[in-house]
Amino acid sequence: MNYPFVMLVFVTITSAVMVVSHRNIIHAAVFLGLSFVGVAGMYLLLNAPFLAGAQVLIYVGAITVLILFSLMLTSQRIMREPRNALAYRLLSGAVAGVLFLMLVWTAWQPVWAVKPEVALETQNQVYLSQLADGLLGAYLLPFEIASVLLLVALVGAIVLAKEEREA
Amino acid sequence: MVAYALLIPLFPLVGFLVILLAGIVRKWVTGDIRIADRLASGVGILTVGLSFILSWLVLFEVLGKGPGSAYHHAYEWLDVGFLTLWFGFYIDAMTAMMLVVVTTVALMVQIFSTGYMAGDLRFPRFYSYLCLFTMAMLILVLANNLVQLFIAWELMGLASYLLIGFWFEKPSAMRAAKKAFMVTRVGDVGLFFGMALLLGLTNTLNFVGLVVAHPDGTAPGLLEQGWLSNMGVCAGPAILTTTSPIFGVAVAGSVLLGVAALLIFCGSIGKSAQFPLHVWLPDAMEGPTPVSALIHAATMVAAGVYLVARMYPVFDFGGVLSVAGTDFRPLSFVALIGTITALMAALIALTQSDIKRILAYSTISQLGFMMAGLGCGGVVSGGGQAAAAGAAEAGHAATEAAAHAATGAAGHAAEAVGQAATALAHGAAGGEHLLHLGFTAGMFHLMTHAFFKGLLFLGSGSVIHGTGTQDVWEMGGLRRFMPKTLGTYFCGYIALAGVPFVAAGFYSKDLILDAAWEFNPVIFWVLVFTAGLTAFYMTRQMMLVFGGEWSGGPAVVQHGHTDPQSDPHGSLHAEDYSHIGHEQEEQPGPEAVPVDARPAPVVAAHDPVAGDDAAHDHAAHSHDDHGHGHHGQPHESPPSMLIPLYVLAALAIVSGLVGIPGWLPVPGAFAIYPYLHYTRPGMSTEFHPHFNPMVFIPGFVAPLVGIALGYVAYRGRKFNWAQAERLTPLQRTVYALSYNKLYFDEFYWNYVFIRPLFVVTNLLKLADIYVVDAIVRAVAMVGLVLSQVGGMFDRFIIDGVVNGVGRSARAGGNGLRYLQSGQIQNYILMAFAGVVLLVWAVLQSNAVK
Amino acid sequence: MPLPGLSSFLVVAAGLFCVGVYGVLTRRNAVAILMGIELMLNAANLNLIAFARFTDPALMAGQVFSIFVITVAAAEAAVGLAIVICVYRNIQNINVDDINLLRW
Repeated sequence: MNYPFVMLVFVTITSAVMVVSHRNIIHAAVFLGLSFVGVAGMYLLLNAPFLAGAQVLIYVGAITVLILFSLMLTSQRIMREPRNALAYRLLSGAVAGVLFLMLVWTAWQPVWAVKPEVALETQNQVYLSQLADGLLGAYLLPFEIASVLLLVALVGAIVLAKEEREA
Repeated sequence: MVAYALLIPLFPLVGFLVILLAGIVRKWVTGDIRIADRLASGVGILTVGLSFILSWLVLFEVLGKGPGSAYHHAYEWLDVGFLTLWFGFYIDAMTAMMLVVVTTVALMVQIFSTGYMAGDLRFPRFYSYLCLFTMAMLILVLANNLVQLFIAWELMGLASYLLIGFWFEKPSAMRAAKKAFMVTRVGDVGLFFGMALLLGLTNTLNFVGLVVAHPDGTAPGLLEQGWLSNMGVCAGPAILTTTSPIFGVAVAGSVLLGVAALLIFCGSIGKSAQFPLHVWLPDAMEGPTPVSALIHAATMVAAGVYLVARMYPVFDFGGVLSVAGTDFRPLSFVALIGTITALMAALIALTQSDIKRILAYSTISQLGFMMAGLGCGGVVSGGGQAAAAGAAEAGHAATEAAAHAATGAAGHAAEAVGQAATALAHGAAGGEHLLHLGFTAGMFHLMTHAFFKGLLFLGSGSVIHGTGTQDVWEMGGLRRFMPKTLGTYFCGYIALAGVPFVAAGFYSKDLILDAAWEFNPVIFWVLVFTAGLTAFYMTRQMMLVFGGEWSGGPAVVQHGHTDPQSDPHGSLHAEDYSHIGHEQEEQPGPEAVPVDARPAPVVAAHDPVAGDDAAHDHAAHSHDDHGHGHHGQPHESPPSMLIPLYVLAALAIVSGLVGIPGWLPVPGAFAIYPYLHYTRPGMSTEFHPHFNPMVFIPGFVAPLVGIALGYVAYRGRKFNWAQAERLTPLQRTVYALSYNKLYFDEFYWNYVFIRPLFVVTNLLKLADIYVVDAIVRAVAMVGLVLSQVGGMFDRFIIDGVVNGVGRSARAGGNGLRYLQSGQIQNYILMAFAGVVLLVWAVLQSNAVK
Repeated sequence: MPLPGLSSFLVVAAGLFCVGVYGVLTRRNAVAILMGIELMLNAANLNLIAFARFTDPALMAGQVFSIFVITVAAAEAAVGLAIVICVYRNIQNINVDDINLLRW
């Protein structure tokens, strides 16, 4: 019984549920950030400290803020959004539920090639230097493409969000 | 030469075909009509002339071979298993005589027609029909079996129809043609059944072996071709020795054979215009006069007589039918019918006013004579007359013997004694006795009658041509205008009347009276009386036509004034079409004088002609036979018409010479008998004619009395029954009966044939409307219903399917379009649902264990 | 304390993912939908890291991959929100139910 794990799970899942169900959208955005944090904690448990940090930085720090800003910019007088029809929600829940069940079933298959010695080890971390070597070594191409992607996204977002101005 | 007998009918056949083509040519050659006409008549005369010559040569050849010779040639035609049909010819003396008669009269008629029918629109067709008829008659006469005879018989009926109805624009002519055909058809049915019955009895229809054989009853085989000798009209093995396989009776003497004979006689009744089927012959006078001369005087009507003569053994051996206790031999029946016919027709002829009708009824009467003559032949079983005859014969033979003995001619005396003994034996035996004369008499009279009746008809044609009318009351005094016609007509007249010794008719009629005396005294006296009537009405005709003064013709007599408009053209010229349609009578014959209802009206100087007969004759004058548009005097006929008259006149006189009674001490007397007699096997045919005053005196006196009475009565052409106020009702009734032909036509029309047929027709019409049409409508209804069903099927099911596809597509589209809600979340939902399904499918597919 | 097995992490990731699915399907606000998408991405990331940890830590493919996922998620969030702002400018409203011009 790994208490940290359980707590993190609780936080994450609960926050996620609040994200999708809370009527107040701002609250939902905050809960989103909280769930990001929970996920970051789980990264730590999984020997990925850098990623945990990156997660917090980017997700919580940038994306959540971005979301909040855009919520501000697109604010409506009523921040509470109306519910969908019950039937629709049930249907969506059903779809999601079924999907969950199937994934769970899959997850519990004993086919995953888990190396037993690794499963028990807790000390093996992936160091930042290793990551850096990898990023600029074996995975250089994706790295570069990702940077291009960021550039494109940047440009695109600016263009899209730009106000029409009389030239 | 006789081997070429096949050519005899072949020539007219060729003529028929050639003239048909000539008629076609004439249509295209619009130029000279006369050339086509001359071509047609030339071909006709040529072909019939060739047949004529050939016939005379055949006659001489047959006669030259002696009595009992015959030429036989048969070709196999059809083999139907149990029966083989042949066609071919059998020429004995009787056939040769018929050939000569037919071709002679036919040739004379053809020559006559060149003058008579000149200018007719359908001249070539007339000649083609004449050739057709001649061919048919010749085939009939030459036939060697009943089937061929029957075929030719029917063909003659056709030719008669065509010729009677030659001027087919005249409704009366067409009616007459139909009537002739129909009435003879009634007889032909009987003939056909008789043939069938005969076939069933004897299994053959060929003459050789059936009705023509050696006098002892044997016969040569059918395949024997060429000259046969010792043949005669005698029953052959087919009758004598056969037991019918079908009926199981011996043929000879069986009642069935008698029935067959009577049925065959039905055909003769029809064709030869005997009572009761005589009604067509007077109406047949609607045809052109040459037709009347050829067909209805000389040849076609004689075919019935020829049939009886040919089938004589069948008649003679036919069994006796018992009717009301009396035994009727078939020949007795023939004689009875003949006598009735003779008397009845003579009575009608007394009052007729149309020259052709007088001759028509005269023909019927003379045919009756012929039938009576034939009927007075054959074998009778014993009986007084025969015994008396035998005794008389014996008596005369004894007288002869005495005379011979007186002159010391012992041989002759012995012979005569022998004859007497034989005759006594015959008479005394009371057994079967052969009446020798009947057969010969009938055929002899046929020959002479053909000549003088043909002559009379052609002569009447000449008169009609000259005067433009057919009514004797519009004639008169023609002896001054048409002497040549008168001369020839006179020859025919004395022949028909039977003026003693001078012309042929006397001899033949006398022979018939001889035969009748031997058979039955009643028949004898009736025939004597009829002979007297004959002389009377012929004298009446002569006086009215040639005697007295010219009445002025139809223009004067009909209209009371000279009417230049009355242009009694005969044969149709183009301008004649306006006259057509004058007659519209529906019923035959007049509604004539119902004596108690109204008195005989007086119409000009005519015999009373109330009713249709007047219109009939009146209009008939307008377009019946030939006539020029005269408005004045009658004139003599051209030579083309006179020459045949001369020839026939000569023959009318001369043809009797072959039958001069044997008791006249003239060389060659009764020369006809050896060639033309009936033989019964086992009976002697030796005939010793003797003079019988009981027979001769009446036969001598009756015509003279008739002539005298007629001369006295009609000398002034004024003896007109109707005008005499002193007519008693009885006399008026008798007159009306005679004038209106004994009302036979009305009787047949109303009670026997026509009206009942109309009833049947109406019934069938009702049946057709209510039954047949109902069925047809029902069928149509079924079809309609089926089509409705099909339509509904098509509309609802087929179209339903087709439309349904469209509709379901649209409905599907209408339904599915709501999927595109425009809302992304819906799309995503659906996508995820799909994902779920995919994952599930993958999990199911054993990819993950 | 023993670390939970791979399956647990996978289950957690699955749960997070399905919650994110539910959010995408259900929320009316466009930004909320993007939030749901972020959740899903996170779940994917968690999966990747878990696998990297349990199967072969020496090979850092999983973590490297995760970095890229984060990168892409960020870019996508940015662009997406820019689009949302555009939409807001046009219809003053970011209720996705009202963005349905392409309906039937």
